[in-house]
Amino acid sequence: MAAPPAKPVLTLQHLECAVIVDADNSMLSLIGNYLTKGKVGNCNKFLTGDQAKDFIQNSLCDLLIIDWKMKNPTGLQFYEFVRGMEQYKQLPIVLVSGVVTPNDIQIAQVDRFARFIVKPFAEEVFLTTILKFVGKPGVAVKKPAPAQIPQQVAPAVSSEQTQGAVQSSQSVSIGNKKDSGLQIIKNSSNKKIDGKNDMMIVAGSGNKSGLGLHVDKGQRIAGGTNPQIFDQDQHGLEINARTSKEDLGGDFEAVQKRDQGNEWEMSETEFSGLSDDGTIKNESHDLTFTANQEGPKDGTNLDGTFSRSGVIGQGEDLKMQRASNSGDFNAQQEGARHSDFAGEAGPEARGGSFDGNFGTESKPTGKDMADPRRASSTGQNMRSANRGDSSSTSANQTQGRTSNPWVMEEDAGSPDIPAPEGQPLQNQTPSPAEGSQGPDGLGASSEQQENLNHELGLDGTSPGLETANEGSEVRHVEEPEAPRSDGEAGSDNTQKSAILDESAIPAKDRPRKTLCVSTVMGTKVDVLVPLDVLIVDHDEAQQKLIAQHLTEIGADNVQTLSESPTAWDRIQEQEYDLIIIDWKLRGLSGLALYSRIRENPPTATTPVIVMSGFVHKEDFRLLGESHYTKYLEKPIKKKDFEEVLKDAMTEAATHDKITMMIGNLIDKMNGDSKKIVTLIEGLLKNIANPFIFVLCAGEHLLNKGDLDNAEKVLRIAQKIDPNNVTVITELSKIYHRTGRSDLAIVMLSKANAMSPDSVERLCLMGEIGLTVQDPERARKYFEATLKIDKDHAKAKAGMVLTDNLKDSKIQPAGKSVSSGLASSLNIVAVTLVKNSQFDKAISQYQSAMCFVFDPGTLARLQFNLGMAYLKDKKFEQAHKWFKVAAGNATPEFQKPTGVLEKLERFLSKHQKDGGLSDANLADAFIVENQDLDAENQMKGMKLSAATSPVAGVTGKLAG
Amino acid sequence: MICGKKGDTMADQSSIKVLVVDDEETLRMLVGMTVESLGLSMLEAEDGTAALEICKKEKVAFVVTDINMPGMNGLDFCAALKKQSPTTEVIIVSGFIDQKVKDHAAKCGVTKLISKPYDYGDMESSISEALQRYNAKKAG
Repeated sequence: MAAPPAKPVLTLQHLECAVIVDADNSMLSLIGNYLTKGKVGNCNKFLTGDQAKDFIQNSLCDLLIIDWKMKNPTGLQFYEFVRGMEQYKQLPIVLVSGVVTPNDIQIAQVDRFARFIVKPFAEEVFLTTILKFVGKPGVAVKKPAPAQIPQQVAPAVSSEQTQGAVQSSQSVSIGNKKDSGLQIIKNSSNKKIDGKNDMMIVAGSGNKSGLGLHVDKGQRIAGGTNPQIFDQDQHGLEINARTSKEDLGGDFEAVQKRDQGNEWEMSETEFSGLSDDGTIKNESHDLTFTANQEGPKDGTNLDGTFSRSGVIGQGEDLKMQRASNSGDFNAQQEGARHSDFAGEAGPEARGGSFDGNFGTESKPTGKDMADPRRASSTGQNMRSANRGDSSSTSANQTQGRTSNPWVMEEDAGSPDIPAPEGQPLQNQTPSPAEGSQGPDGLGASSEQQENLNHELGLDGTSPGLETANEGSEVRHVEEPEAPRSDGEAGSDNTQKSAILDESAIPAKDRPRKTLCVSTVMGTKVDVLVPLDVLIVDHDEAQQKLIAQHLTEIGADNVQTLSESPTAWDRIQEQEYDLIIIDWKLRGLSGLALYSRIRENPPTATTPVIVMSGFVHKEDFRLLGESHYTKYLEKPIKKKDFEEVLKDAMTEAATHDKITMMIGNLIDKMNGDSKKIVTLIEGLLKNIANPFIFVLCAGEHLLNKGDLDNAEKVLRIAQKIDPNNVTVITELSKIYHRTGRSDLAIVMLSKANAMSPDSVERLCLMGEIGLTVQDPERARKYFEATLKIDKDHAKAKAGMVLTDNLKDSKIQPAGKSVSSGLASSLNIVAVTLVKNSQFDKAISQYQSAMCFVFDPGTLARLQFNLGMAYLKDKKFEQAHKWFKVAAGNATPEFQKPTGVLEKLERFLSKHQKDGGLSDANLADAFIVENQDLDAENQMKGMKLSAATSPVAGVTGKLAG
Repeated sequence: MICGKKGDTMADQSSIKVLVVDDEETLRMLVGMTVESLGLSMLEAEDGTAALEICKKEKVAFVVTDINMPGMNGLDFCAALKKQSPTTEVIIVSGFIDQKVKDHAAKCGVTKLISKPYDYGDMESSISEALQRYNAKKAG
């Protein structure tokens, strides 16, 4: 057998200096890692354009990668800034974005030196694209002249932040290693760094002799254990220093930045930024910090993960919280102060590690920064007495942490670093359909953590979350673990606010605050805060952050769940004003959960906020189809969250209002087509933006079952907006329900092309496949549905029907397609019964019920199911289904009632005899009632047109 | 106006009556849709004459009227209404608002002129503001 062709080696080694600017630290790491693998000389990473500007101006990079969606400056602004520089007129620029709009494409078309890459992307795709791009004619890669490159240009990302790119035994250059910049060499030990071996700071020729290092503006120095004096007479110094474990009881890394070059002395035990008592003085700027602490689940004191990052304002306390749910953990971890860290940290003794990173952009004088860090666990408090001499500290140690509460990570359970070599990175960014299966490997950065923390006002300054033991307003109550739907013990940590009983009171009777004053259709309205909120995210830390914010603004019943199957159960049980879901959920993907929410009539109009760092553009379209859905991009900032929350609540309220108003008007017309059409024409004539009114009118009529008028109104809506996916879908339902399957297929195909991940639409297309007796078509769409939601009840039922249809090879002679789906399904089942394939027939009937919601048709199917059981000699089941059918009997179809009466008389008679088995009872009843037969008349029955909810289906199946 | 997914709160103002005058039933319905969404009651008239009759019999908070109607047009109705009930506010909705109409409307004491096709929000805010002034007058 011929060997597979060798994988081409993708090398970009001709690139010497790449700059990556991305607001997401994980993306920085990921792209950096790709480029490193592609053998790019230097990868310089920046979280913001502002941070990158100096570097860009002072160096000659030959590849620039920009996060198109970053802010302040935006990707576009930064792109324009760079392009405005003479030396970068032809710089290859790669613009990275999750969504590319036509405007974006225009930019790429106009600028032949720019190229978009859409996230998520695999390493190979990324490198190939870059290779093709930088190699294409006219895209010159400038070779920076060494003399032009300043010494030791500092990337704005600390060594810890670049952890994803730093592998064991690798070196990372800061600036240009060929010149006199710094080189950081990290040894193979990931667990421990000491001053001698693990991380070396090799200063280039630019450093001064002795202990000091000369640092130019914007440059960074990573210092070793020796006391160093930095004689810095320019601003912009950033020092990355690590103290020794011997003195501190644990290694400790700190990053400090200074604005102006006062002399700054660093010693083994203190920074000059520390006061005599060991506190960090932070007079003029915020303190940025990251700390992570991990421990084994070994029953020792340190049992859990301790992680915290954020920004501390001037003079504010640093507080830390427990991040892990893996066990009890320290409630009081003193040690933001340098000396405390030294005294407290010794996690290696516990088998864990400790990682601290402090940065301050301050002149280190002034107020103290105390750090009464507390845990938020409801478990027993314990002091983290990780005092010891064997603590390990590393800028790279956080990669194994399980969760960081202070960042809206895409997947906190995933490593923060890219996958090791050989592991397909695509697996880290699964598509929504598979997103539930695994982590995406894209955590957020410590800087994002800091930003978020600061933005949310929860950076230790807000005691709410951690004061369950301290009488804070916000107290989270642990609920017993809810069983997962798959039968396993649930890992959900369900939390409700303390005022849990409030949820028992209807929301309208509970006081609520105004969320915002918004302009709804030109009118100022007070939008009220949602009271009952469900947050579904596997990252408890994120749950808490959002819950905290919601509670602060007045939500009184905020529930949090980690497991999406449990969440779905809860959503069916309880009404919420707002549901917030992560798109990357485990078990049931965000897409699947979202689809179920929207298919379930009680939650179809519940405001939903979808959070994610990576949503496929197709999914954006899907989310955009609902007026009740808003998307919130991670990492989440308070301001963004507030805006999205306001938008979601305002738009939902507006849509509710329009639906109510137009619905009331239409209801007054009692189905009078002429009046309805006149009303719609009046809307078009008199109201400036009538589309939403017309759409709501059409949907209202459709929901009422007035298909004729709904079609008229929706066709008017389609004239206003021919490509509106919602209108196309609603019209398709009407065409399907009125037997115009061909037209429905055309319309649905059009809608599906625009927004392919709609479970409702896919299922409807499968249903049409059944209707036109095209098993292949039906299978294709039911399978597509099941790919998104493997437990989708209707799609599963559809697959059963498809199989039966195919296996039965029934060509119902004389039955046209227009006789309807119900007839087709029934004929298959009746034939199966006649062939004594009872199990299959029963399955066919039960599945068919998922596609029928008209009570009369449903009663017929239920009756026939009873008949199938009877003929299968299962008297008790037959009795049950005759009862159900009788309950749904209509004036036109009273057969079940008569049969039920006969059956109960029969049962009453034979019970006196006693002792007859189920099978004997069935036989005897059939003998006594030989004229009894299944109902064949399904003609003219209404079809479900994909409106029967999954929940409803379950209920129907349960009888 | 207060909006919320659940528990919308709105004081009971159903006793407050707004007269909508238009010869087109559809427009009366559309304005009525707004009036009722604010919790108010609507009275209807097809022309100015019928509207004046209603104003004599009913306590009307304010009026929303078209201009071009058979019989007594909106501006004439407004002038007559001001003599009959000087404090009753009038909002005019019309597809033909020029300077002449504006001048005339100003003389008749019209509070607000809204052009058709109108932004729904403009209509709602105009009615809301008229309601506020009515309530303020009543309280004062």
